[in-house]
Amino acid sequence: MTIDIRGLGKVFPKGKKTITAIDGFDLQIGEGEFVCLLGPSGCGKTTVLRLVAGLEAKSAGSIKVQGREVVSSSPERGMVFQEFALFPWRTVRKNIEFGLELRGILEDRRKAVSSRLIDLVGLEGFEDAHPKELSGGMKQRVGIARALANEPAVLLMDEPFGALDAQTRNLMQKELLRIWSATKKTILFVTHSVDEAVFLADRIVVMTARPGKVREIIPVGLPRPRDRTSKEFIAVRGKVLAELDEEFEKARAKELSPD
Amino acid sequence: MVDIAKELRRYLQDNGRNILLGLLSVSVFLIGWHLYSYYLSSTDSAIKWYVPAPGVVAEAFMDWFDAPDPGTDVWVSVHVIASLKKIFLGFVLALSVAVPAGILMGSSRMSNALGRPLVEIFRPIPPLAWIPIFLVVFVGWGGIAIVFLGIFFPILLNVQLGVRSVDPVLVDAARTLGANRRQIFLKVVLPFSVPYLMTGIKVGLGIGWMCIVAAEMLGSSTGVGSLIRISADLSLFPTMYAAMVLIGILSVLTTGVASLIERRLSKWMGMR
Amino acid sequence: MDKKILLAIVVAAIVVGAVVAVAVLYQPESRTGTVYYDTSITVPNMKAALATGQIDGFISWEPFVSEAVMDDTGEVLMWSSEMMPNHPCCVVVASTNFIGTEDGPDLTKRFLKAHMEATEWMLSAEEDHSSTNYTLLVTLAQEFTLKNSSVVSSAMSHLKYKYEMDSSFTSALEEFTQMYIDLNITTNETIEGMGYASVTDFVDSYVNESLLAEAADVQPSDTILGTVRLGYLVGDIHELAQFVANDPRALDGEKSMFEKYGLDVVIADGAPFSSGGAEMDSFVAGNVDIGYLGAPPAIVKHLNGGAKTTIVAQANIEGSGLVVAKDSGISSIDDLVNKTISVPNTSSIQFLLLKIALEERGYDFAVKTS
Repeated sequence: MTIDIRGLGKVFPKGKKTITAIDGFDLQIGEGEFVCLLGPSGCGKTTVLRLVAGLEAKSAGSIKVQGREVVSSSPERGMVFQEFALFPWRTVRKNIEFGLELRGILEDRRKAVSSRLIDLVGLEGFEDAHPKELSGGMKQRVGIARALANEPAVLLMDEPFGALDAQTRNLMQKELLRIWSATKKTILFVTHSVDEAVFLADRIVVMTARPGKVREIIPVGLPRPRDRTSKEFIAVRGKVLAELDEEFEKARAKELSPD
Repeated sequence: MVDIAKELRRYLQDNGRNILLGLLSVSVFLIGWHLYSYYLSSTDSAIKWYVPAPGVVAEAFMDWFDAPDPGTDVWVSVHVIASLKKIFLGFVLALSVAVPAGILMGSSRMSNALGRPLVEIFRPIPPLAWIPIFLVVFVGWGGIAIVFLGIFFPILLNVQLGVRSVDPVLVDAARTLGANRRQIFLKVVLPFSVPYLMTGIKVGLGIGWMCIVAAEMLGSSTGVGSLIRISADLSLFPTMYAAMVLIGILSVLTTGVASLIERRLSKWMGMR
Repeated sequence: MDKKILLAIVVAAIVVGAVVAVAVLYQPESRTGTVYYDTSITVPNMKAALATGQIDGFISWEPFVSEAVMDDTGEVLMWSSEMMPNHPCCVVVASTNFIGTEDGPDLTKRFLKAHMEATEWMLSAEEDHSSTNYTLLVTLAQEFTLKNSSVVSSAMSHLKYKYEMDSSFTSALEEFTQMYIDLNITTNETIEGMGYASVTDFVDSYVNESLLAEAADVQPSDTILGTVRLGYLVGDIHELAQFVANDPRALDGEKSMFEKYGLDVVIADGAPFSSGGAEMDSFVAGNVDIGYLGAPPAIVKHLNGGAKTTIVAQANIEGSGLVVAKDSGISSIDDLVNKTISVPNTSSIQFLLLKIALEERGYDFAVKTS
């Protein structure tokens, strides 16, 4: 198991009280799998991702990546952010090389790695551009390349296409699949778009409303490239939506009633 | 050369109208001043010497190129260099203290708790208020000390703000790329704060000029500020006005240079 | 990119370090035979500056000279009387606008009468140091200058109160004016622009001897006939006459000399002034009717700044001194080369006197520039 999460729990203090964001979350992900995490707003899916990344400390349970317990952040768990999080003062190439610089890798090797990745994500010609000069889709390509530069065991993606317009989003989904098949990474992908999840994932994990845990895991089982208009696609979508809608109602009810 | 000419023409084309408007308002001001001084000189008013015509002031200014300044018997360049020296020294000193202090106060809660009350007490006091004391206590370095005080706070506060304003997402990204705390500081926080530092420098320089002129007016024999005091003492008013013009020019030049550096730096860092 | 940044920082640090070093260490080449002056220190602060070594000497008016000597901060290298014997110092100046009013001439003459009486009182008190009048004189001087009795006694022994304006006075004024022309501080064009044909013509017109002559016949008055707004320099013992004339103790214990001659003398706005230049500015602003100040600012601010004033009497001659630090090794004017002397202002008589003394020996007197 590349990612092994058992009994994961997380509480946040809120004034004098605490909020239990996640309680009893279990999930196992195998090598090379593409898993999407889906759920109503506030269900804690981003929190799960951040816990796996090591950006936050868990309150209960265990997270193991490649057999080792997650304690803090590390480049072997690369992350791609919805807001891109590129360093504005660095060029595309320098952004990608960031992790390599940290490890003291010399310039020649760094350049070889970043050049390869620039080709992979399709940004030839933009090596020396600054993030300001790039479109949203291009920025995210940089984000992906930057995370991949460190040869991570897993790629954690937090609604990476949420800030893009519909057409760019579709394009980037296809690009991501291409990159994924070229690199064979294990990907944990958080989204709130059912359509996106069905298009991309091997398995879709539907979370419950807060406190979040796994409600249902739905394997997609469709060959890629997937046709959004096909009967099978629509069927899977329907199944996922049904699970999701119930949780949405629960989440709404919780919001309306005092905690 | 051709490129520069082309750029110049482009610049004039783009800003031509604004330049003309600016010239217009300055001309109106000069004409008004001339008329007022002319009117005064035709009366028996006691203050007519105190408002010399723009032309007379320009003449006194040009005289500085031909002969030493009348009040001090040295060339004006000596005064300009004296003032620039003081500003530069005060600036370097302020930078070397304010930047580390700003970084410290921006990154450590404890440092902020320690430093903030002192800052809040001393910052509102105009640096000029310290002039009588500094001139005596920091013998010979009084003017530089005032400049230091004037430049110190803008730089300190801007650097602190920069350090505190670092986008947390960038810090997250750096962590997931394997950065330890020192690396986050050097490779994320510091570069992020540079534009804030440049703002502090620009503001500080403007204040620094005011400080040095005031300090020189009160307690120095050389420097452009002392030109004002000495010329006034001898009732050489055209020279006094010319000194004010000189100060204005020097101030614009130095802050202009700072602005230029700021723009180049931002472009190089891809943030403008 | 890291290496480039590091390189840039190192280069910048070297440049900055070099400039700072140059700025701090570089002294402009001193011309042999030049003494330097500094106008940035006010007279009351000169003693402290001498003590801390900021300056090598200072020249100022009494009582600050005696004060520095008496507390062992310094010793007098040269009195102003040695630089120019009987040199004029402080004068009484009246606003021509004031004289032009209906009561102006009369009030001015009454003022001058009181000034003369006070001056003569001080002179006779000085003759006998054991007299009660002398004790009172010292007391008044103490109250005016806020210095102790030995300081003020010493100070007064180095000056002479005098109100007459004789030919040595006018020729000295001519010499001062000519010096200012040589220094390019004023010009012949300016003098002619003010309506004078020459320097001699200027001094002739600027000094009003008639009012002083007519003042001798002024009679006391039981009633107050008018108000005079008085200006003077802070703690300047040269100008003690106005303080004496304003105090009943110098007369009969009930009236002051000013009141005896029917004057209500009030302190002008801004008085006491820190310099003659500041006092002249107040004249121009219309705040002062009659004032005491040094002759040079009275000259310069009239010629360059059009101050509507006229000199109506002298107040004193001599009474300034050049003080150097004790054990400084400076024992003659020649030892002053390359040293820095603090002077009150370029417009002050102390500056002119020292310049005269130095130029007589072939030395330049230049502003300290480092």
